[in-house]
Amino acid sequence: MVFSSLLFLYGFFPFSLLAYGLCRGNQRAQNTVLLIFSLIFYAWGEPKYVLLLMAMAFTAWLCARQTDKAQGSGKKVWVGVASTVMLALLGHFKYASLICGIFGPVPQWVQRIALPIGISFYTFQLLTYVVDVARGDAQTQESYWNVLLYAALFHQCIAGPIVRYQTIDRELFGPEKRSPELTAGVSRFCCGLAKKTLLANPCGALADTMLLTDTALAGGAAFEENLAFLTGQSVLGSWLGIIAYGLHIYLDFSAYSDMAIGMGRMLGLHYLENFNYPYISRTVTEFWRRWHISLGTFFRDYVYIPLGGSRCAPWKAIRNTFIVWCLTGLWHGASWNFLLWGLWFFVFLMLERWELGKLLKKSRILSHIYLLTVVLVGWMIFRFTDIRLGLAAIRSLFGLNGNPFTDFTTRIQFQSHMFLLLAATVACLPAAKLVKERGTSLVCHRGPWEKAWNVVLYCVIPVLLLLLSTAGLVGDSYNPFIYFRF
Amino acid sequence: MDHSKLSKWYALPFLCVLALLTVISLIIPLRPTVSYGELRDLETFPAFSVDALLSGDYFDGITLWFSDTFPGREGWIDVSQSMATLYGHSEIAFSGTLSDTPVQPSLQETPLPDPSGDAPVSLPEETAASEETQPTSSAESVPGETQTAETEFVPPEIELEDIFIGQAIQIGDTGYNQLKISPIMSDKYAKTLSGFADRMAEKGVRVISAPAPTSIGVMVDPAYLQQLNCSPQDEMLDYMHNQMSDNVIKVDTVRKLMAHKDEYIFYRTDHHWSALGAYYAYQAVCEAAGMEAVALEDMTYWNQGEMIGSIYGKVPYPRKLKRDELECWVPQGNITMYRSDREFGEFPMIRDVSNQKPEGKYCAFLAADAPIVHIVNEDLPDGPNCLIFKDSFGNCFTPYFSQNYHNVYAIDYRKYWDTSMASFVEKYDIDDVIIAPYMIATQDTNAGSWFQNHFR
Repeated sequence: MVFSSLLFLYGFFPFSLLAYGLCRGNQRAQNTVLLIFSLIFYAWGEPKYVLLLMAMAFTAWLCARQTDKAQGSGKKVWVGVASTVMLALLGHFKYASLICGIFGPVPQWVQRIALPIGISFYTFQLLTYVVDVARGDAQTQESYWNVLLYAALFHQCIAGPIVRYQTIDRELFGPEKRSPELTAGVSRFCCGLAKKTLLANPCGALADTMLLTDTALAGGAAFEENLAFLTGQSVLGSWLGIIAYGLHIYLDFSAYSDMAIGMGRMLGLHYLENFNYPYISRTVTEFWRRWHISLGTFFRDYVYIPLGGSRCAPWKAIRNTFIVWCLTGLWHGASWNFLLWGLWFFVFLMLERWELGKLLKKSRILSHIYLLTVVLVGWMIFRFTDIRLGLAAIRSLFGLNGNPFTDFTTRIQFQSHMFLLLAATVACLPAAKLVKERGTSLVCHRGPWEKAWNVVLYCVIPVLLLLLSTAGLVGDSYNPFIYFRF
Repeated sequence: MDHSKLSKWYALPFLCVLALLTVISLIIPLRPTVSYGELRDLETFPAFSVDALLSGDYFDGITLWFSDTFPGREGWIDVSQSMATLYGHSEIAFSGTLSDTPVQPSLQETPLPDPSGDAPVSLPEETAASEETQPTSSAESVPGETQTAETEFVPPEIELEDIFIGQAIQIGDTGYNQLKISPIMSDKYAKTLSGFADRMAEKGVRVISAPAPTSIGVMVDPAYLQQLNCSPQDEMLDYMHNQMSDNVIKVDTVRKLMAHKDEYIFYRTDHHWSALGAYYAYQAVCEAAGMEAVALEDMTYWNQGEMIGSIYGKVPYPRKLKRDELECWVPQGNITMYRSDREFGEFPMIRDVSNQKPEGKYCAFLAADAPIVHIVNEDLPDGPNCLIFKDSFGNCFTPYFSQNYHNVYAIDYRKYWDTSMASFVEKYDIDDVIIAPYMIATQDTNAGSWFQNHFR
């Protein structure tokens, strides 16, 4: 089930809220409700893999308990056991084809292995729990069901953000009474829903038009046809496609995080922000501080720093960064293009650490152009699992395929979508946030004006966004959350 | 801002709307079962099975059913479509990119049999024909006539839906289908017809070529056509006709319709011409064949109300399309039509669909794609007989000829496989053969094979 489906909106979500509300004052009952609804939510998409989720949560629960009891190197042993089991399972389900492909033809049974929804997210969450317990950063959870709830919580189970156990331990399992922020949560949820349905989906459809659909790309037999399409795409058409894709992937993913954060707030759970307007960055380094923050901090705290971080010999620091970016790339998908995508950013990060970083500080405009070019070309690598197609598409961006500068289709598609692209671009900037803050400060303590402002902001706009999103969802066949594949 | 200080009552309208729509969505009778806008049945609630449950298909089916049949679906889609029109500002719109290849990319690879040969086209034996494409007995097809034995046709395995009708393009409030000329198929079409006309000329039978143009070639400015990767249909027709034998009477249907392009000669939501467009084509045939066309005023005008056609739902913004009306002109006289389609019997040339739903109303004409129909005008007992070789474009075109011929036989080349046209002409004492497939079919490899089969 996805958040932006009508069944979720008008079936699962209101009933989960109602059931949760009926257990008001009884945190244990509320957690039970959350666990039941979370398991239903997960089972809705992958009935059999709910057992895998439960088994991995059990492994984490058991290993964390043993880690807590163990002394000295014993802790490392249990962390090692948990990591081995969970990473082996992740490897089996996600990377078996890729690994087998290195050594020859991929056996049929390996090809048939399906990727359980959200496995990359909950595997990392459970790992942070065990490691944090070993480090003493988090307390051991005595109840298996609570560990399962932490991993399965439907707000973030299948598409993040990667919530660390220590972040919600107190709110979810602590003795204090939760303080729901219903209004703020509703507002955030509706913003996310509208971002997804009104902006991300049509941007994705435009990207598909200009850069081939996933369905077209999935057909290996159509390789020549796909290659001809991409090499023949005009320069502006290729840029239009990749800009639309860049907008789509940000709006889509951040929308999911917005909805997760919003639903959490409705119940009094506070998840950390996962995005901070990444496209306003000026360097790749800054971009990755603003993009998928929970993943970046995971790799920083659980891979990069344990390897020695940057406080070591220069070659080791480069090695550590290299490993992190290989893993970041591969986390996004079991395909070589994702590895290449990670390494693409590694190269620019290294360049920025040396001379390029200083140069970029000199010109604000040039640094923005640089960042957007690097990111958009990176999205081209990201989009095409067949690297040959990705390279052809990149060559088309610069007219290196002998492709025309522009054509009729590009002109029509641009004209048909120009206001959408403008709105989507504005949604990537902190403009709405600034307007909201400015307006709030203007009306602050001004009696009826403040009330009217709040009514518009928290009553009218959420309802309007909900209704428009519903209209967008009805009959909308184009509605996949792209981060599911990870 | 400290969100914890915000009054929770602000969330009340959202919760009320959420609750209201939840309740409405649970009232099953409010859920639609058919989408009139998309011309399809909506999803049904999935059947339960353990396999479907374990694989996730059952839950996927429920999710799909829930969203596909959401109460008030048409209204929500109206809002959604209105929002989509705000994405940009362009008179022209299409989904995807425009193909720059002719109708069928593989046409060069498709071998065609020798048109002069008598053997039917060899088709794969293992593929079963669809029910609609099963051979129809001529004995059933035409009451009162007897059949003579001849080589049986093998019906092709191609489903009717496989016939390429071009990518849908929207220009303002009208939908069109893209069409680009294939010189190879045009050459083959001209050769096929020429061979047939030469053989018919020896028997004193006239062969009249009157392909039905599609709207894009008539209504859209030629300067636009190039940009849309379409070929001007007047030039396409000239190209084909210039290669045809002198024994073919060539009718310039395209320019005839172009002269009336400010009239309602093509539907805006459908790929067919309107009955008025078909009438002008009929006029052109009469002029070319030396016959007098019946005047529109001598027929009964019948407006059967709103109609939605095949292009609706294929263009990016269908709700922007101007709705169509089904206008008909009913020929007068002592006329009877018989149809064949497993059962035969009398059938109105233009039937009453005024109370039907708007989609698919084009079926009002000529028993809707029957393999063969036979129209008899008893007021012209000594009149000549004609055979009209047509597809669905011919459905609203054929009735007018009842005013000029005693017997009009209309064969749908996509469905009729009983006998060759040469044999048919001989058996039913045909004087004129009017060949009127729509323009896209003349460029289509499948249809090209069929033509060779029929005109062998």
